[in-house]
Amino acid sequence: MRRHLGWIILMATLILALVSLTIGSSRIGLSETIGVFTGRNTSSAQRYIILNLRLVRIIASFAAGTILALGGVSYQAVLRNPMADPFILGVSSGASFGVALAIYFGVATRFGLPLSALLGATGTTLFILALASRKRSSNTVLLLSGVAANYILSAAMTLLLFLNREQYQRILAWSLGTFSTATRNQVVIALLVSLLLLLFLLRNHRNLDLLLLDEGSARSSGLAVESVRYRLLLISSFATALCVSFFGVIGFIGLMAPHITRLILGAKHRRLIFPTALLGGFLLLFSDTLARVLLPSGELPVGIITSLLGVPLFLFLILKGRYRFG
Amino acid sequence: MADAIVIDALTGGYETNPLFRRISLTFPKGAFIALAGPNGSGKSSLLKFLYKQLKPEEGTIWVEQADLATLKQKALAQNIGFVPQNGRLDFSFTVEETVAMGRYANPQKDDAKRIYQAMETCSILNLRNTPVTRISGGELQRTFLARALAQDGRILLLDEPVNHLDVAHQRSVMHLLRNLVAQGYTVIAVLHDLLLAQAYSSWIVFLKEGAVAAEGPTGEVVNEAVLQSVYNVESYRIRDPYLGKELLIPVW
Repeated sequence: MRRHLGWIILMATLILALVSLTIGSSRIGLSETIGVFTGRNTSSAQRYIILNLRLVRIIASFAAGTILALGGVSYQAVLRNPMADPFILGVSSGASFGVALAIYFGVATRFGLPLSALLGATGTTLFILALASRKRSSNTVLLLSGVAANYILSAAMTLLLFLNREQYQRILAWSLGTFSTATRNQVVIALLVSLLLLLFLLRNHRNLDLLLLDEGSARSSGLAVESVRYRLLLISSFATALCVSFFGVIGFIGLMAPHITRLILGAKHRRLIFPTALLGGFLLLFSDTLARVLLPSGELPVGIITSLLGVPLFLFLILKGRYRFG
Repeated sequence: MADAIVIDALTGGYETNPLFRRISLTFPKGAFIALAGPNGSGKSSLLKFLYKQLKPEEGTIWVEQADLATLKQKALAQNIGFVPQNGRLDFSFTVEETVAMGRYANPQKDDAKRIYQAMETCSILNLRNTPVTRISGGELQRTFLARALAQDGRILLLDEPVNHLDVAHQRSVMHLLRNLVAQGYTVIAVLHDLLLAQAYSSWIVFLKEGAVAAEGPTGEVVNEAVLQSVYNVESYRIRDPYLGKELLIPVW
């Protein structure tokens, strides 16, 4: 099981993707769905629905899941904290604030909305990193700066919502995450970013291991702690920010996926990174499929599903106690 | 005898606490060196300068004749290993994976052999597949020591290596360190327990308020006058029949 975990998740993902392709408001059966790919099904309407709507959405949720999971792996190592993910340093609150601002000023176009989210997310993270680097970069300083930024930005966003009540729906929908608006371009970019992040973390697997030691041990083993830490934070934050700017704030994947794989595979990153990315993709695809089918008409925000799945699992992991927290 | 480390007119410390002002010290090669002194005297900070977590404002530190300032972190790792005080690892690496991290700076084809030897030296081979989150404090201390040994340096820095261990574990870790010195390692250990320092070390440095209060061979340096001036405590001598020498005991 341990050795083949990656393949097992991959197979499960493919099966889930196939099932997910057949689910939706227009009924397209399994054989007709497979027919679209083999060329047997020539119905242009069905081809359009499967290839341009459902497949795009499936790949989008999978790619976003891998990015969020890898971001979690990276942040948990850099901050030496099993509860960490990129949202801790303000990626989500920064992005949400950016979007609220864009909607308030009426520049939330198809292009303007993700751009404002990206600027808000990366701006916030860079600000926190700069702040912490002045104080000899202790983890506690980073975390506390992140918490402070999250509070301030949430307050600012609530204020914008309050001043701009008619746009409340739109901001709320975005901030809970959705793949219903995913475009082909976004999917291509998300897949590319996911792949680059995966390769980057695989290249850094020894660095990630050593970051989990105390600072003295890591440094005396030869790790250039500061530069490795900032490089990982910057790249993981940017990848997550991009994902958030496309699909909104989707919580818990960055915590769930690494925790589950660590439970099975142990903490060594060389073994952990690839299966964690796949599991993140699987979990988000699963959540998005549920989001599409749970309501008789319309759909749920996917962020609600990931939280509903994530919280009980998380409590279970904490109570089971293979980790030492704090 | 050559010196393992020479500190020449080191000035430096923290933003809020400029600890050392022009201190100079030599650590003889192949010695068991105890770093002692009151809390806050700069013992752990001195180690931080040696593995480059702190950088001198002025002065030079020589490690095996090389200027520490010009040494890359990875090159330094091949000379100096460090074992932290109360080292902990909250993620479920196995003992062997943790020891293997010592090979980070200089991975070689025969890493597996070196890792095995380090675990054997520290008597943790039986734990190699156990997660570090499930072993005792003494076993974790040995694991961290094995990780430092796997770096292949000949200088070991230890920050209070036995302060939270029971007597039996204290004894076995101190014996292990003594054996390493016999094999040619230079061991520099922060020790609060003056009895342990007298029993095991051959060279001792007393720090007080960021200055060197006394340094030299342990048998000569540890005397009533030094303990009085460093700790402001009185002491008396007692002959230890097993060690065959006199030990200085503080008056409680």
